This record gives sequence, C-alpha cells and structure tokens, in this order.
Amino acid sequence: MGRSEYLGEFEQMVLLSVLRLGDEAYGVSIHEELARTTGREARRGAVYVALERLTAKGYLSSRYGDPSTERGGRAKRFYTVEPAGRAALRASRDALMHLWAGIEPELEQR
Amino acid sequence: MRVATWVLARLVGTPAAHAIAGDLAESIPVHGWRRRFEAWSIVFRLGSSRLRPRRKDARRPAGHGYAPRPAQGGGGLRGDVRFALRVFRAHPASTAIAVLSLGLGIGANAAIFSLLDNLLLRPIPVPRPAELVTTPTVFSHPDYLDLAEASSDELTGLAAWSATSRPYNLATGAGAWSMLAELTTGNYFDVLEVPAAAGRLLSDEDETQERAVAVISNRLWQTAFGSDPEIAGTEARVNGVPVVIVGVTSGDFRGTRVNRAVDLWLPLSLHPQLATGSRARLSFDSRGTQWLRILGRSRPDSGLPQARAALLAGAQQILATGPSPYLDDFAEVQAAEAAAVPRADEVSRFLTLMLTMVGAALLVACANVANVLLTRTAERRRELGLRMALGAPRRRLVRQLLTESLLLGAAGGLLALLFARWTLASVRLLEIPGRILLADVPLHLNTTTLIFTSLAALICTIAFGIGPAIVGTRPDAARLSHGSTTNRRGWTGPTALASVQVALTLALVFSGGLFVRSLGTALDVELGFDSRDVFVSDLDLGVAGYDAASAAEFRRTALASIESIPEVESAAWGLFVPVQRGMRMEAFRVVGHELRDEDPTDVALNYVSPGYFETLGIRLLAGRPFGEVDVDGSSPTVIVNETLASHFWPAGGAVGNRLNFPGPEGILELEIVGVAADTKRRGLREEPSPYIYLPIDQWTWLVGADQVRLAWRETAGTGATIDTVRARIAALDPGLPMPGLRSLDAQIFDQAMPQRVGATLLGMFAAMALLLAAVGVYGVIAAAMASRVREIGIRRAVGARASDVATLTVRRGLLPVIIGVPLGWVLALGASRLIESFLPGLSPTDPTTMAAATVVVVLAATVACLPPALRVARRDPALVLRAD
Repeated sequence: MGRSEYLGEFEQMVLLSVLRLGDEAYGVSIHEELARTTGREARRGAVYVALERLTAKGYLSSRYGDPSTERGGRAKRFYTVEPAGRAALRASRDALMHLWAGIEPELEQR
Repeated sequence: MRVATWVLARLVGTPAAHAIAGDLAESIPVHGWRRRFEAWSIVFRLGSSRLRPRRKDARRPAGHGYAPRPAQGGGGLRGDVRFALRVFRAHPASTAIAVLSLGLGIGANAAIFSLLDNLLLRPIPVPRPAELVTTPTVFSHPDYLDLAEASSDELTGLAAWSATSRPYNLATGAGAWSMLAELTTGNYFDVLEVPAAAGRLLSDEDETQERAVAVISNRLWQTAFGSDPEIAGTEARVNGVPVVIVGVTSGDFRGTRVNRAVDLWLPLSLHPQLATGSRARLSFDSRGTQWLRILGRSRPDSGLPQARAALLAGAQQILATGPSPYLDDFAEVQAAEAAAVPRADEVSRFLTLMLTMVGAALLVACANVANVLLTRTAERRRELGLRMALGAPRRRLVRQLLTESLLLGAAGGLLALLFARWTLASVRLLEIPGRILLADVPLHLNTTTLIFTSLAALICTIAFGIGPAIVGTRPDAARLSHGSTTNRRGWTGPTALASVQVALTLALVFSGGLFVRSLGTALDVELGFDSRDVFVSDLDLGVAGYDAASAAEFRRTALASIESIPEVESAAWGLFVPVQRGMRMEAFRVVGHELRDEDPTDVALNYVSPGYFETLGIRLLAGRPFGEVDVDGSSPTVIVNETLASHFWPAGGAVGNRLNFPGPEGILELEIVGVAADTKRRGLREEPSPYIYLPIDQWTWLVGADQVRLAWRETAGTGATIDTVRARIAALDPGLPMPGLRSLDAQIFDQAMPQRVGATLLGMFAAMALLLAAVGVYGVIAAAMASRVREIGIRRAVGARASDVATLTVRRGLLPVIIGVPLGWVLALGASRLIESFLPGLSPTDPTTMAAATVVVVLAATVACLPPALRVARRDPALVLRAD
C-alpha cells in the first residue's frame, strides 16, 4: 500500500476533488466538481470505479447520509480522504513537482 | 432501472448500489432512456473493472493471434469466465460484432414471434382459452336463455354479449374518453375466468337487478386513471347515463376479438338507457330481435364436439316450439380462439412473410458470429497449440472455448430482449392485415418469447462454438504452433459465409425497397383537395345525449367559436372528411332526364357545412358553395361533383338543373347550385364516381346527432391551434371527447397502411441486415489480412506501394460481393413471389428497385473494406517482420 504504486492520474483527480468538497463529497458533487475544475466531463462509471478502487486501497472512507425524496428515497454516500490518501497525494505531488522542476522552458519551445 | 440496481448490488453491495441509483435519480431527473443508459454503462464499468487485473496488459502488435496470459491460478468455471472476459477485452471489435449480430438477429425474430404469439397462438389472454366456444350467429335474448339451459351439461356456463355499434363516451370528473364497449350478461367474466385487478367484475345480480355498474379494462385504468387503487366506486357517466365503476379487469384482456379492443363492459340490462338510434327499439323479450353473441366454456371433461352437439340440440328444441329462420342455419360452433382473429389466413400469411424476412436476417447475423468465432480460433491456433503441447487436456480447452461462446450468447440474448422491446414499441402505430391495430395488441415480451430468445441464443452459440472449438483443438494443432502460417485456407470459410450474407442482404434490401416504393406510389395520388395545414377530429354528439335540434345548435356555436380563433382560417363540419372509410348512399334521379341504362341511380353523399369546400381546398368548377341561405326550410340545394355533372351534362351547364331525392315527406327537388372537383373519398386508389354534397344545415333532422367530423384549416399549419380548439369544444361541453384528432395528412397516410407496415418493418430489418452484412465483409477482410500479415509485410519490404497493398485488400474484400450479388438476385426474385400478394400494382421484378438495392449493398461492402485496407497500408513493414 502506498509507496510501491503511484496513483493513477484519474484517481488523483478524484481524490483531490473529494478533498476540495470536504463534507459534501458524494457521487454527483464529485462528478460535477471534476467537470467544473478540469473542464472535461468524466464518465460517471469511471468516477465510481475510481472511488471503489481508492476505497479498496484505503485512501478513502465512506459513510451514508439521510435518504431524500428527490433521490427516490435513497441515501447519499459521502466520501472522506483518509490519512493514507493524503500521504499518497503528497507523494504523487512531490514526485511530479521534482520532475517538473526546470522543465517549463522546454515545454514552451515546441 | 431496477435490474441495473440489482446487478450493481451484486457488484458493490446493496447500500452502495442504492446510493449510485440515488445519484442518478438526482442528476438525471427524467426517467428515460438516458438514465437507463448511464446506469448500464456504470454497471459495465464496475463489472469489468472487478474482473480484470489492475494493471493493463502490455500492448502487443495486432494481427498476430495473440491472447492474454493463460488463466493464473483460476481453475474451474470461474477461471474460464475470467479468461473469457479477458479475451473479449482483448478483442473488443470482434466481440462487439458477435454480440451485436446475435442481439439484432435474435431480437428481430423475438419481436415477430411475440406478434405471432399474441395474435395467433394466444389471441384471448384468459386461462385455458381452448375451452371457449362461440358461433358467428347472432341470437335473441330468449333464445340465448334457452340455449344456456340446454347446454348446461356440457358447458360450465354460456354468456352473451353485444358489441356496441359505435364508441361510447365515458366521462368522470377527470375527463372524457371515447372507447369501444360491450354489453354482457352477468356471467361473462365468470365464463372467461378473467380475474379482477381492482374492485369486482360483473356478476349475475348486476344483470337481474339492473344496476348501473361498469367495468373498465386494465389498459384504460392505467392510461386514464393512473392505476388508482381506489377506482372502485368512482361515479361516471356513460353516454350521459350515470353509472358506478365497480372494478378493473386484470392483465391484457380486452374482449374476445383482436381487431376490436374493448375497454368498457356494462350489464345487458342497461341497454335500454344506453342504446341510441335504431338500436333503441330492440326488445329483450322478442325472439325476432337478434343482437347477442354467445360465448361458452366447455367443461374440463367435455370438448368442442360435445359443446357443438349440445348447442345444436338446444336449437332444435327451440325450433320445435316455433319457426325461427336464423336458427335453421345455425350450424357452425367453433373455438373462440379461431373466431378471435378475423381473416386469420391473411394475418398468418403476413406473419409468415415477416418471419421469413427476420429468419433471413438472423442467418446473416449468425454468419457473422460464425465468422468471428472461426477467425478467432484460427488466430489462436498458436496459443492453443502451445497450451496443448504443454500438457493442457483437450477437454479443458474445449470447455474454455465453449464458455466463451456461451458468454457471447448470453450477452447477445440480453441485447436481443432489449432490441425486441424497442422494435415492438416502434411499430405500435401500425395496423396489420385484418384491420388489427398493433397498439391494441399486448406487445410486451412474455415468458414464451423469453424462452424462445434464450433457446435461440443457446442454439446459435453452441452451433457456432462447438465447431471451431473442436477444430481448433485438434491434436495436430501442436504442430502448427511453430511459426506463423500463411494460411490460404484461413479465409475461404469466411469468404463463403460473407457471400451468403451479401446474397441474403440483397434479397432483404430489395424486398424492403419494394415496399418503400409502393408506399411512395400509394401516396403519390391526386387527392382533389389540399390536405396541408388541415386538422380533423371526430365528434359523436349522439352518445353524449344530444338530439337533432341541440346537435345542430352545438354545431353552429362550435363552428363560430372555432372560426373566431385568429390562427384558424376556416372550419367546417362534414359527415365524412376524406380520406376515410364509411359512406352513405341514396337513390336519386335527374329531373327531366330520360333514364338510360348507363345512368347511375344511387349516389354516395356527404352532408357538409358551408365552409367545407374552402377548408379542404376543394375547387368549385361552377356555381357557388353553400351559404347562409341553405338552411332548414329554405329551398333545397345540392352540389354535385365533376363526374356526375359531366355524365349528365357533358357540355356543361349542370348548375340550375334539379335532382329528385327522397325527403322527409316525399320526393324533393334539389337545385344544383355548384359543381365541385372530384376527390378521393375512401381510398387512395379509387376510381372517380358520382358524388353529391348536401348542406348539413338543411338536413338537421336526418343527420341528427350522428357522429360528424370537424375540420379546420390553420394559417400557419403548425398544429398550434389544436389545444385551443380542444379547449373551445370542452368549454361548450366538457363531457365530449375528441377522438381521432390529428392532421389530415396523418389521416391520409393511414390509408396507405399496408404499404406502411411493410415498409416500416422490412425497412428496419433490411437496414439491420445491411449493417450486419457490411460487418461481415469487414470481418472477412480482417480475417484474411490477419493471416497474411507476413506476406504483406514482405511485399511492402520489397517495394510494393501502400496503394498496391490497399487495392489488394479491397479486391479480396469484394470477392464475397462478386459471388454474393448474383446469388442475391436469385434470392430476391424468390422473395418477390412471397411479397406479390401484399403489393398490389407493383411489379415484383421491379428493375429500378433491384438496381438500387444492388448499388446499396455493393456500396456498403466497399465501405466496409476501407478501414482494414487503410490499416494495412499504414502498417510499418519493419515492425511486422520483426515481431515474428
């Protein structure tokens, strides 16, 4: 767990979205937050798959809220980032930032 | 949606599945196909992510017949399934082809089979329908009672019913509806054994004690009352007579005739209050008034012959007491199921035609599946040979391959169900031979169809799975595992299959094209009036309780109200509005004219309001239209049509002459005030015949409160006035439904129904077959190229240009077309024999359609060749050779 595997790009984005949404992170809001910030709308299925995987890896935990009528009486499943998840995010960010360091001019040339 | 949630629950647990369902309900509020699509795509993703390893398999160059690593540690069925799924993910295109082909082919067959089942196999959806007997004879009430007593040994019960002559109005506080109804004896539902879905159904007490009760159909309960569980006890008015709705029938039961879907049942005893017109004079006690049909159920230990004998004996007893002309002829007692489908032979011929067509489409589909499996086995010969060389038992490998086939079949079967459902939903507006409106036939998929579909899927997959499985695991496969093969024989099979596909598809496209053409010809007629921007509706004032005077008043007021709507250019009433069934005729003479042999003595007629000609755009060739002066009491007038005018006055000058015509107190003289252009009236293929128009306001006593048609012309033609007109009529009388409200164009389109049905259904199946055949051709080339990769690589390496190689590919791909097209011509000619009877007027060997069909098929095949050709041309030969 953790060190030996890198977070997939999409998984990172999902984790970050959950972090941004704080207490309000559930299926619909995560999907919307991703669309809003990345400018691309991900497939719903991909979001749920990522959430499942991240939960399996221990980076996310979930709890159920209260049912509401506009959802046909079904509860929302809220996600929270676990410390292991934060650690994985930090590790990914650090790795990427080191790789990015000094590279910007390279990118500009093409 | 529920199915999807259930599957999700199996994957991620129930609470999580419900949460996802809730998310979907929140973000897609409308419960339609979009939500269902999203749900299933989530299921697919979650499902496949569960079953596949977390790391993506390293990509390897295509065309080498590679396969994923053999199952690790997963023995047994579960491992086989996992492995199969990985194979599918590795070959998404060919898997999709196989599943799609199976789904479309089996689905189309399931749809037609469902039609067959509901129409011919089980036309009366009640328990043990084979026990029901009936006869075409119509009986009087006393005779029925005697027959019931005489047959009580052989029948559990004999019921009687009377079909209403015209649709009845049902009005509650919530609205008014027009529907077909039946008046029945109290034991009707007992004999049929139809259970109640809510409340209770009719009983003997209702009949003897003349209670004003009514039973509605399940369909009406759903559409008009939203399946309200509190429906029993609802007060309503039927044709103005107060009744209480006491219950709802369950299931699909809507009467015992498939072409007459009934939504309302009332006890016989209500007849005197409900009957209108001539029916009101029927007497319950007279043996001379025949108006009832009988329906009985044989006892379990008895049968049709005994029932027939008992009823005939009963008739004899009645005849012994006194003469009865109709009972003498009464001989035919038949099974009610046989009587349920009028013109059953026509219906079954039509369905046979459809079955043949979808059967052909299924063959095309199966060819694809066979192709896919054959090709894949050929590609994997290396892998299989290797595994066998390493000691894997043959049975194990065959089981593996069979599992793959079965999974494909299962997926195809599921898709087939969805496609069948969609097909049936799309054809609801059609009417098949026998005047059976498909909207009235219960067309949801029932258990029989499900079993049929599953069986078909199973047979297809085993048939196409076993062959390749056995061939691919032959002992000498081990020898072939060394080096790749330039296997010429690798594509003879696929080519043959694809040729058959092309042939079948050509026949299907040709047949579909014939129907489309005949539809065009049917509609391309000179109507004699301008149907654009015109809307029509029926209005039955008689069943709403109006008499002649109040009906005339209503018509006047309603017309004024509708014409005052700004977007309405003009409006009119007519007994008939072309093109529709129904007509009236009357005898006539021309005043002062010597009757010759060739003169017509009867003429079809219509009663119309003054604005009729203007609203329908019927040209007046001479004289004037009707106007304010042509009302009750003023000098009687008539407008004749061109045919009648030119028959009697070929040089012209019909206006001013007079016709003798029967009136209320003797023969009237009608003055001809105008000549109108001929129009089509009852069918699109009519020959012109004499016709006269009478002013409806001069004949109010005769027209009375009969059902009339309202027509109005919009300035814009967008249909924007429909709701306004509806509101205006409702403002005058809220209990008056407006059945058949639609554009005149739609009414005319319906006249070409037989051609429409053929064109729609066959068009769908032909398009489907075209897609499948194109896919088949694509598969052939893909297979051919896969086995010749090395050869092509060498050709490129020694200098062949990309275009040369691409041309080679296309030529290979067109081989099935070259073989298949002539074969297809032969098949098409055979198909046209089948269709001939359904296409009056069109030559079955129509060369234009044949040419068009051929072009379409060749084009589709050529397009299918392009992707592989391009891919082959772009491939880097160095890569290809090195990888070997």
